[in-house]
Amino acid sequence: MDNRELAVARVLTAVVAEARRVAAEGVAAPEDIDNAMRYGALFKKPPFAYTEEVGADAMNARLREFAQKFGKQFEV
Amino acid sequence: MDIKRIGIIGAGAMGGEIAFVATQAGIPVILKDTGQDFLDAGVEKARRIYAFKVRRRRMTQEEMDERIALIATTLDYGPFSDVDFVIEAVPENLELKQRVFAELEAACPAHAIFGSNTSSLGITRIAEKTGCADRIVGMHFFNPVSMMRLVEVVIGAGTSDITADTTCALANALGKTPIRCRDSAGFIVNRLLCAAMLEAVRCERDGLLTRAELDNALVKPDAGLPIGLFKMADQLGIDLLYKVMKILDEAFGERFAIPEEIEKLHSAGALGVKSGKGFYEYGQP
Repeated sequence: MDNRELAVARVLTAVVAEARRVAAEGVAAPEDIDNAMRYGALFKKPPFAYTEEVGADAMNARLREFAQKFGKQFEV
Repeated sequence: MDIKRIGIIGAGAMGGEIAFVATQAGIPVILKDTGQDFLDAGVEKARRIYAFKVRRRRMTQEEMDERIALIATTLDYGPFSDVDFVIEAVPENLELKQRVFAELEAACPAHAIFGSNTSSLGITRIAEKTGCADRIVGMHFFNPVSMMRLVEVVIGAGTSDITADTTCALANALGKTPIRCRDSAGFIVNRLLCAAMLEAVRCERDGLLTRAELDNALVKPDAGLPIGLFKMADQLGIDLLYKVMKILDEAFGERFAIPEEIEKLHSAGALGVKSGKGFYEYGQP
């Protein structure tokens, strides 16, 4: 990844990590989280849809790598 | 429940826009505030949105006049004895909101539902000074209310299913998309947007890209944001961002700690577009 791709990946993946916490805490269901981001923040790639796009395994690997390199905000 | 009249308490920017949304759906509203100036400003806000639609030929002047006629105003709770649903949009102060909901409980019919537009205070806490927590719910609209579809319907510890269902049905009737969530700091959208913002700040700090380059990258199709995050912060106001981040930091800890870059802008009064300077400079306001 070049710097631009990495920056985009970090921002979108930070949202993925936080969205997983929102779901795990029972605050909202994944589908509702994605729709909230679509209609409340106009995100074209809300977190769970983005995870499907990247691939579940690839996203988990990325979260582990980013947690190591960039911090606890990626620990899920 | 058939909602025949909506009370709106707090005629600020949000109150006026909510009055527009409700009357556009054909529902009469009674708008309350503590001063005539505030009421006039709220009605004027709704009027301006309608006038824009008429200019764009999305409605006729006659239709606009019919809708505007659905907005009534009051300085006291008298007319609230005949409302089915109240939307609260007063300033973000816990004591104030708790008092308002206790007043609403006394003034409104026993079936009335109370939806709070709060973004930073908990619904459960707001309901604490009432005996009707079952009829209190969060109804969190997004700016600009006339355009943004989402309403976060926030379920407090005491909120009943009927209240939640009725609120979602009302949101649908208003042309909005309701999404249910539990009462938790930042609900869904503010919490996730802050997570994104914080990561953008870290990326800049790590020297990956400048903020302008980052904002530029985030609106490209492969990222899919509607606007850059630094730009968005400047538009919303860094004071508002700061407030939300403080609440998230208190609730969830370190990962939401306010970064030095934002702390500095905040103390310097560089709050974004409205100050002429924030993450970017805007020339004299």
